[in-house]
Amino acid sequence: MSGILAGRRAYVTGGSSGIGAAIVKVFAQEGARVAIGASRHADEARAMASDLRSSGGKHIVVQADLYDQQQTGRAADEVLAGLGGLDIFVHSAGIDVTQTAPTHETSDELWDRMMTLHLTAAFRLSKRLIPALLKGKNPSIIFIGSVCGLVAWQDDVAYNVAKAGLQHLGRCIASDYAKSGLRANIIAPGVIDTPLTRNYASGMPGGEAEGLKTLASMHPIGRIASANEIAEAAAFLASDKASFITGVVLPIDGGLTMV
Amino acid sequence: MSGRLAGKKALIYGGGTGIGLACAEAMAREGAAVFISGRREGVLRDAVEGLKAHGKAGFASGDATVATDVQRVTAAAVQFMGGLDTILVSAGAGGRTPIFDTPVEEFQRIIDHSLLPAFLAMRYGAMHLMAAGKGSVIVISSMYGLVGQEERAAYCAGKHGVIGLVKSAALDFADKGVRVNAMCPGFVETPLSLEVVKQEADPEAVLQAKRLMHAIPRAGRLDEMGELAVYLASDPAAFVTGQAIAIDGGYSTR
Repeated sequence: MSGILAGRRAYVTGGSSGIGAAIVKVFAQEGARVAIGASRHADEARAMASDLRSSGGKHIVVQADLYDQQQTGRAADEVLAGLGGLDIFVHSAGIDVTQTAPTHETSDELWDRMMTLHLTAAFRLSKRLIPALLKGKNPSIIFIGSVCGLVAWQDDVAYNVAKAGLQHLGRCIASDYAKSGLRANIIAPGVIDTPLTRNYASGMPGGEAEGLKTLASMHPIGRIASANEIAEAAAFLASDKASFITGVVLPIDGGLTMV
Repeated sequence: MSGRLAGKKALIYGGGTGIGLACAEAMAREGAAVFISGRREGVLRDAVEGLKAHGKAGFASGDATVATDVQRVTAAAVQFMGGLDTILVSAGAGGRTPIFDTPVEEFQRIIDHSLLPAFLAMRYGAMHLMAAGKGSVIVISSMYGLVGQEERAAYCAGKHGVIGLVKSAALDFADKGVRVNAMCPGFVETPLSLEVVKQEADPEAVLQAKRLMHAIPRAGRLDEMGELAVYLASDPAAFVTGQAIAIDGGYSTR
């Protein structure tokens, strides 16, 4: 089997559902061998691992709670041991807005959770994985940010700031390792049709169907995106086709952030 | 025919040489019919001979800063390919333009060559792109469309301006199935850029400095420009619009 990621070893956090799962599928189709990161949905991840085929060998599942520092370190070790090294690291693990509130009503606990999973986990995993990535084949890091890291979405301060931090972490990594052959880029999706989004829409006025319509109307293109559209971009950025692209924040947002 | 752009019909301004030709080649290799335009007929004729190895390829010469030329080239492209769904604009002009002593005419010339081709290409291509139901416009800006550079006032203004044009046009087209994006390359070794370097006192030193100014310490390659253009023209990029994407080895990140 060939493909633009043939022979690559990739670790995708948050790989059991939503954007992460779409990335795992496209990477596998493009020939990569994937370590599917999961926490609560490890069974789904195992089912994916056995369903998907790749030229690179069997996919593996790495179960870890990325809020926990020790488990995060163990996850990195398991990835490197399981794949025998690493060429691509994608941090897609995330939680969406669980409570919308202005800044002064945002709990410290929510703030900490948002920062830990989106930003601190990405830093901790990068620290552990970069030495291995530097020995990998044309290595690359991709962070899944958000349009909320670019614009100040109302009543969502913790998520916005965590994603903005993640995006800048990616740019810093791009700068630190540009001469060493490791690229780092960030995708900033608009609203994507995922279980998290449907759950969010169900809490909007009029329920899920009306909520999805409202979300679609926020994008100049007039719809929300499929997770596959994010995964295709991730595959492009991770491949040799993007060999001169580093430090880029690529919004895939149907024009949302330019208005 | 297979390929990521199978069935697409692409008109490439500045398609006879350099980045424009590299993008035309990459699009043709992915299955698109291509139609190139530029000022020099002989250059276009030679380039099309190479493009024909991949599939349908045609050309018409014209000045992309002249409305009547762009109208004529657009009509010729539509007739040759049986429609039009992809436009790439790789036209422009450079030159040293410090703010202190640049002749007004030189500033105006560079601005015109930066902005008019993109505007005219969309202005006269619009109805065909919308008729196709699904279209993509790609304008070659520059990393100097994102950051400033000394002694390049006109070029930076023009390339920044292109990005404003791209964002506004993307909104005009957003609900009509047509996407508009800009690519912002770093230094790429093309026949034109190498010719400019040759006029320097120490060409090899200047060339090396241009390569090493990127965080990834080398020049961008033409094939890398083609790959990004193919992605932006392809259906998997259907939610990407209004963006200015740096392909500059991290230059604008630092």
